[in-house]
Amino acid sequence: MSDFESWVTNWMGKKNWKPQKFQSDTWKAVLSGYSGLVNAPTGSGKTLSLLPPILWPNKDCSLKTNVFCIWITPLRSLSQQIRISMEEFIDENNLNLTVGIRNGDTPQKIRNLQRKKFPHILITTPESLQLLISSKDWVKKFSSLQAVVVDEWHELIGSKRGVQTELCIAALQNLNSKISIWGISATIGNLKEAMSVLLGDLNKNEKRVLIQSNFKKKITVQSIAPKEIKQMPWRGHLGTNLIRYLTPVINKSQSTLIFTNTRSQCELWYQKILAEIPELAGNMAMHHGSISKEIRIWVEDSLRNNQLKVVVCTSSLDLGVDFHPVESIIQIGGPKGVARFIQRAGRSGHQPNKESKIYFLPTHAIELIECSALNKAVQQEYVEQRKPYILCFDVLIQFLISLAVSEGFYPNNVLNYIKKTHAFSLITLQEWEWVLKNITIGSNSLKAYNEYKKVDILESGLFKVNSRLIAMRHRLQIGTIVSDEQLQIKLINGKRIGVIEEWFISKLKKGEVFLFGGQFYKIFQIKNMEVLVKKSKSKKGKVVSWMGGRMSFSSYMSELLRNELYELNNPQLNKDISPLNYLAKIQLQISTIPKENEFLIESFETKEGFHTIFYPFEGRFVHEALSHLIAYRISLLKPVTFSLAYNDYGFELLSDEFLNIENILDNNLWNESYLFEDLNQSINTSEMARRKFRDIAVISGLIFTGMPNKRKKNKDLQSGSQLLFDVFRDYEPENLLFKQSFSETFEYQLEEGRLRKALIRIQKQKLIWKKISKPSPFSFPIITDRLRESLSSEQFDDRISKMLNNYS
Amino acid sequence: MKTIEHNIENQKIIFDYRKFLFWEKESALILSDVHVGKITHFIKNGIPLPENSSFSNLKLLKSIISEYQPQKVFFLGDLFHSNYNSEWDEWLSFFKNTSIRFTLIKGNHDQLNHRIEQLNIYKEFFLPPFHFSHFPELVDGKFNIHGHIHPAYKLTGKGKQVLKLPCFHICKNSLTLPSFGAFTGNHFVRLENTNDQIFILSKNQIFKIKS
Repeated sequence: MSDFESWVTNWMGKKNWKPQKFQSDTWKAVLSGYSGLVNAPTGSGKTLSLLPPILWPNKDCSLKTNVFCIWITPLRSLSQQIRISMEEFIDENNLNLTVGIRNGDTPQKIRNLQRKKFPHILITTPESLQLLISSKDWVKKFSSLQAVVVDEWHELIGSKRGVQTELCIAALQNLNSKISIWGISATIGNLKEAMSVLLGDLNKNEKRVLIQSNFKKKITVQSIAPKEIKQMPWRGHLGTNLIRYLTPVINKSQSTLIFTNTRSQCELWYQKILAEIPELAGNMAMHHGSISKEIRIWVEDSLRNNQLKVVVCTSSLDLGVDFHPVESIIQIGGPKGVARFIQRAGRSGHQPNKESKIYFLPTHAIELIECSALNKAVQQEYVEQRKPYILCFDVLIQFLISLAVSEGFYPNNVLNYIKKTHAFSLITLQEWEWVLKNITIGSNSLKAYNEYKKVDILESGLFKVNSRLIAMRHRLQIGTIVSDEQLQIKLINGKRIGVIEEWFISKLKKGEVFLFGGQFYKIFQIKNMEVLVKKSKSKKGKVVSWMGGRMSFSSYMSELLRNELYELNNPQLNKDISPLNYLAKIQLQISTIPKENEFLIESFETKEGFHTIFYPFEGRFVHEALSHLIAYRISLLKPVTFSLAYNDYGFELLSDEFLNIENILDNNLWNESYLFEDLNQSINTSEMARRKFRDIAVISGLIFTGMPNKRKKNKDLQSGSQLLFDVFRDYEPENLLFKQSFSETFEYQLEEGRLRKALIRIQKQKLIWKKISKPSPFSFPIITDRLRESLSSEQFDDRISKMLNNYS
Repeated sequence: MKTIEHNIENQKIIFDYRKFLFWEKESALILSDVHVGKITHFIKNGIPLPENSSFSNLKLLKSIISEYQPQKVFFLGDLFHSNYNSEWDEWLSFFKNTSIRFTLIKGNHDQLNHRIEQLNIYKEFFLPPFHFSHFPELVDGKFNIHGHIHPAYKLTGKGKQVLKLPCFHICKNSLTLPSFGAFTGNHFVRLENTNDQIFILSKNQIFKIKS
């Protein structure tokens, strides 16, 4: 045994712990200078696989030494937990090392101390790391860096935060090529790819290794659906009328974690549970991303100390934080993906070898099918892939300006190292030059824009921001998570309660009551980006809602779901979905249930117009694309206007006139050739690319969101992304940021590859068209969806005239 | 329809789909919220927008003027988006080289740090029977014509269709003009009273909403 191993195992021995194989493997790899990815679930001792070997060469170092390890976590709330376990190791081994946190919650006092000297180990987020890179002296401060660890990499890789992380790491590696890079990831479908994204695409032969723990967890899924389907609603996603089915689980468990899919659902369920089981008052809490930091930390600590019986939460508690005492987990409504579901199940029975149990409460009848599908997925241990983003010019522009704000940069040097990242390995010289021109002269034309001011090129060739105003605005806006404008909610005495989106509060007037964090508040005043409130005794009020993206079924989940559905035609139903019999019976009475070789289309009329519903069962994102594609292809045949709606099961084309499917189907509607061209046409006329453009415009700094919580909002520099989108479309369609909104729509929203496969599958199926007199159970959740888009081939002015006729 | 003729306080007013009014008796063209210099103001502050997108407003106004041949033009505020920048120059030389009388009501955006001799600037003014202002203002029951709001209307139809269009809004004792500028946002208005009028505007036509 090496000195190192005896050092660590000795310490673990005192705690009655034994090193696991993945831990000792990782130790060896780190000590021999490897980089890599550790695949281990939360609660398996993943921090201990990396921390000791990183500390080992530094264990005698003095307090004067600068930061040698950066530990990146996706969530601020994880930082505290990680620091505690690091300090435990350091203290018990009598090391003279310091651990510090730097993120958006770090108080100014600590920031000032850190300005003088960083701790040896710095726990941070991607956003805060980029902010550090945009401050002066970052090169000097990070000069003794040895290792970068990215915790929960699976949470970052499928987002632009992943790209941001890649760029920051590349910049750090450029300072010192010997820095080792390690990631920690839960199981995802593309672990190997996840590793090469983190470590960069080039130099594949360098020392890198993927280490997987053989940690297996037994997970049981139990549905707590009503015995009789008649008690199930046919639509909606709140499901609060099913509350009585939760009561027995809550009562018999020491502690229960209840996962909901949205923040407003979380608020509603909290109220309903309290009303149903009043004894829980004082023993129940709520946790979601908009609640203030103080309250969140309190909830997390109380959970850890076994002081709460029930916590209602959203994905804000999905990640890492360790809660040994949680006994039962309840998932309300479909979790949309297997990986997420497994992760949530893992919140219970946290110790190794202990079984995890998760209860699933469907919120409407069709989700009963999901429950059964999930159970199969969990047993087969299949989880989805997370697709990394590439060529995000918005993130690149933000990163370059960060560099220009701090010490400035030389383009060739930066191009050299960003080409080593996965995200920009394919950047062309033309694209790179476009980006440089964009930040220096503001346009791609040879002539510099009149008065444009951002990055200056110094005589030495250094790209540098000289304007203090530009620098300040940039630092305020670093980050790739774009949300609606947020307002602080505060009590009159100044106590912070949380944040709320501006569009929601703008609908409320002074004196109105709303529900937030489980408490009713009355609006006292809205001023300077703050909402001053008083507690209210009222029992009624608007439930706060947030605009968040909706999730889609993964392709694997869709396949499982289809298989479950086909079985509904089969008399041998398993016990879990038996309540579905009733639903199946009604669906069969009104319409039909498609078999594996069949494709169902339903048509019916309501006072809203003529509904045509298609059921590919391919997940929300594919349906979004298919609805546009099919609507577009039909609109080529005759002038028509559709309103489109979609969910995970199918999509609807709603029109003001009857759509005769027989006349339409002969026209190669499902053909996969010309897919790209037709989609492009249909997207041009729709809102999809516009929505993507909003994020791009904010990240790249085209939209200035103002100083957070500041009186001065710089109104004269604000503009809607919609207006900017139109300006680029009309005057500069070759703009790379404008074009990026389309490529993102194709790659990440429409999932072109999946779409193509779905079309090929549908072409082989037999189409069944049912003209029915009233909505079927399958159609209900779709036609009642309020989020809609439209597509039209009618003349604009004709549409207006037609609509105006309705007004008389 | 390209225009709608409508009588207000016994005055014949022409409502044009290109977002302005023509008051025949005074031979006055009335428009609001042009926001000249907005694009250049953004560019100046490090937000790279296509520069050529700022030319369309003046071109449009020139063609309207040659069509209507007005003697006066009233800008009801927010003619300029911010401080002077180079985008103003073409407008200034246009003001210089015509015999039309230009009147500007100072809006919240008009900083006017640059002297413009051809422009008569007021806080508000009364030209019987109308009270002109930038912000909505009711003075002694006089009929108020104003800008600032950038009104737009949500038109709904069968099959859950929705179209959002800029509009003129006549409500009781006031008339709100849409913003003339091409690069500006909007605020949704509704028909509240039975005598309200809303005229919505597409790229080619003006339509009346039946109340």
